[in-house]
Amino acid sequence: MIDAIGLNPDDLSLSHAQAVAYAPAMDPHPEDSALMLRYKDGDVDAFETLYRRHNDALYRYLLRLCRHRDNAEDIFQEVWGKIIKARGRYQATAKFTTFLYRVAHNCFIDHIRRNQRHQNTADIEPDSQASPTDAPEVETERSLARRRLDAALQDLPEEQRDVFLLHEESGLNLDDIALVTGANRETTKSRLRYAVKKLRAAIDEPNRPEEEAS
Amino acid sequence: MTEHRSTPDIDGPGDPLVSSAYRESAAERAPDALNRSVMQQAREQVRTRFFRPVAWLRPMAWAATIGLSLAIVIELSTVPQTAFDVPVIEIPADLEVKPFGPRARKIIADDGRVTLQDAGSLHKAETAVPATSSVILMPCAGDIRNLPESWLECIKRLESDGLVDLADSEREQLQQAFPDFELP
Repeated sequence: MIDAIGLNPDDLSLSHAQAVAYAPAMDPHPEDSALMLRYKDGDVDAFETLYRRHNDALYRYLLRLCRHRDNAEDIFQEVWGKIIKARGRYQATAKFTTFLYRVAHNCFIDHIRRNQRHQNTADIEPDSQASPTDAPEVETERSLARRRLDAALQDLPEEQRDVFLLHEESGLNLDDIALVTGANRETTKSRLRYAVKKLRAAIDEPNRPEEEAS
Repeated sequence: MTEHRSTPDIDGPGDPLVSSAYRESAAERAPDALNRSVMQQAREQVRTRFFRPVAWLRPMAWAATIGLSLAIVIELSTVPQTAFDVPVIEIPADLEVKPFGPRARKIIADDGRVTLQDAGSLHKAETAVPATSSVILMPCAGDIRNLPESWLECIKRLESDGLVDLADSEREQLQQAFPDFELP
């Protein structure tokens, strides 16, 4: 596992549990690592449970990181393909989430090297989650805020966007995000702080030039 | 799909307002086609892995069969050939072969040995030879061969005792010795 995805076992030792014990089959909420170990032994249902826990968050992470739906879907499949193929060598030495997002991060970096398309304009539109209980003017304001946030997110430098998305989607702490991105903790913290600051400014700034123009 | 979206760990410079706005904005879910594709891949990978021993077993079975066959062939080829040969009893030249009398009879022992016993003289000529022996016996010897009738009578006794090969051999010799004698 470790070699296949470029993880250093020494780095992994600082996160989460040492080794996750095999979860009993009756456990209604087995840990990710236990599910992966069960899949390693041929239990496809365990993998499905694991997959459903992470598929949407990983998809959103890749979608907003790539900013192109097709690329995100390609990388998404590539990531899960690597997870599936690595199951024979999988060892529960770190959080599964760290493992998953490290693979995803590496796949994205490989994708950048192979294809520079992602650096061009984005082709995704933010999903709106309109609440039926909100007044129209409130909803309009929220919608505008979401648009501003999304635009600001896409304008972020890639490293800052990556850290912010990992923070929001993976649920990993700073140490694990640092592990995923290969940066140290302070750098990671700094990137996240800058990203959040810019996004907050975008939300708080209602009259951006592009909105005025539209 | 079960939505799994844990709250980010607030040990960094997070902002609840930004997180909230982001979560409202980002609500995409992985397309069903992708989900199906990944799950199909996961199933195939397991199937491949668990079929691997079966694929490995087949050449192993072939190798075992070939090895066993070779072992049998080698074993058969190294068995001493004499074990299957019929022992030949050499009869000394000065051995007097006595003809069996009219009441001679064949005794087949449990072990397959054939004994020709002349009940009258209690002369027991135990050949101690399997029934397939190539030992040439001369049951119709001596004066019996002087007359074709007595020779023929001896031959008939052999036939009635079941010694058909001997009887045929004697019949041929009788024919050669007395070509004019008309055999029945």
